[in-house]
Amino acid sequence: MDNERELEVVAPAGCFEHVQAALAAGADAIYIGLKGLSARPDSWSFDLSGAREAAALIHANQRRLYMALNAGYSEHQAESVTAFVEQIAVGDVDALIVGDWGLMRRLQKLQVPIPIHASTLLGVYNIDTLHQLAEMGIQRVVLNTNLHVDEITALTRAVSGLTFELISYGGLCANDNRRCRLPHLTLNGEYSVDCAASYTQIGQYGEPGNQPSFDLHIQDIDLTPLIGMYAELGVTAFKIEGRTRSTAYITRSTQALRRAIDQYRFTTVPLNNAPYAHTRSEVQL
Amino acid sequence: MSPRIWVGLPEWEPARMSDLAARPVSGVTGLVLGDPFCPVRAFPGGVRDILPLAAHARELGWQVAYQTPVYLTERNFNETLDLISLLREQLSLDLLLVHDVGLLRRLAQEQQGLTLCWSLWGMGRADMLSRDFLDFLRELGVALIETNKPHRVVPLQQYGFQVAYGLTKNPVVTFGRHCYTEYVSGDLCTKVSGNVPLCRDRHLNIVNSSQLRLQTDGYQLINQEGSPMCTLADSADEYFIYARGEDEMEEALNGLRDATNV
Repeated sequence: MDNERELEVVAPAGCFEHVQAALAAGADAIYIGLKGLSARPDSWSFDLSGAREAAALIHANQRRLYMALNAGYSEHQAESVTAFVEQIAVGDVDALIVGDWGLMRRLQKLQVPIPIHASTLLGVYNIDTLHQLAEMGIQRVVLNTNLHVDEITALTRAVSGLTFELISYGGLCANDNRRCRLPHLTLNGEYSVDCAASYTQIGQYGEPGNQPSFDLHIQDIDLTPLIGMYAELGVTAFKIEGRTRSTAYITRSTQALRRAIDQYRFTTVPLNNAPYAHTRSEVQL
Repeated sequence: MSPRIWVGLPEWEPARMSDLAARPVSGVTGLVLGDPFCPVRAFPGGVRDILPLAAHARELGWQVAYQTPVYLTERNFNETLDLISLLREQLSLDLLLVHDVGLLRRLAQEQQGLTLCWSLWGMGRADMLSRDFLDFLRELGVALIETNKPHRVVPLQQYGFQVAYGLTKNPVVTFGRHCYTEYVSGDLCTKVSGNVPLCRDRHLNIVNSSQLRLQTDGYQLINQEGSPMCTLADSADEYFIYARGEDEMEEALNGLRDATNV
């Protein structure tokens, strides 16, 4: 077993304060959204100038910056993407996280000289899709949270040259994490997760009554106790979701993941004895 | 040329097909077999059920479309490919509804000549279209695109695609890899109803704190309030009617006749 391999903590940042917090907490890489093309509201995303400011700090600390272009890509954005690609330079960001096949194809045609990661929003479930991505020059795949362990194993061992990232801290949703049609933005453009609202079962014409409530946002994922297992399966990057969360959350989650990875790499203590992580009551295996 | 009209029901049985065939003027061209989410709802016996049903549909003069699973992992990818091959070899499959890029890629390599429809569930969360994406689909062999947005029909046709318009009484709000009926009821599907999947006879209504009212339908959450099954797109090349029973199917067929003079 080679515990010395590089494993990456990928932390989110929705503002500059998040960047500073994630660096201080031990992130190896930080991902941000590009305004207009991010799956989060613009208020939690960066323009190119802001991204360059973040990059300067991140690179000064010998860490990496990834930029998410993972919103739905429509025809009217084609020109702005082309303009963005013309402005961006090697060194501005270390990778682009792309969540749309059309956008991926455009970046491929534009011969963007920056590594591309396939976002979890692409919905990669099988080896044939991995081959498609590899042909398009993609370097990393962010796995879906609704894959089972045997399915992850099949993917990570199938195509050489690809690396795999797993969302290890964030929301595990009952709905499709890519194609959920529930409202995710309020009329004011604020990020809102309707599935996290409390639901109650009712009769055909009745009212909620005394039925227990439940939600569709099943629970938060915390895979820190399982980092070693996933690393053995071939996952090399562990992502935290939460660009719109608080700075305190980003600090806490990044520290927890950092400790879990370091413990796996540098000690032989079983991870399920780790004292710091709150274990998920149910892990989707 | 008249558009093709396809009907998909949650489950097909030979008698149900025969009843449909016995109607004087149904206008139906073909049947959609397969459930995009549940491996057991439509065909509890798997391939053993599908092939005879497809053969029966063929005997009655219907064309046959197969709805592939939305979630194609290494657990079911090869099985799905094998089934497509069998359907094609034995019954000259007329149409395949696909939602997965990996499957498109494999079909382009091994099953050329199939009519491939990029289905609704292949779209991303924002459900946006770009020329780049459409070119990508075309390169993978897609000739037909399904939409439930009337304003998309003509632009897609102008871009060189055949367009299928989907009608349903209760639009799907979202879906997932969990069975909502099991999730909400807390009951195992087959434990409660024996060999009949629970979702065949139980649709559970739920409401959230912002008064969003939904109903479970297996792996789909649908709008609790149904809407008239009329079409707002009269120039599509194909129509898919996804009905939960014969009444809904009839309503949709009437709506289609009114809109398109089919």
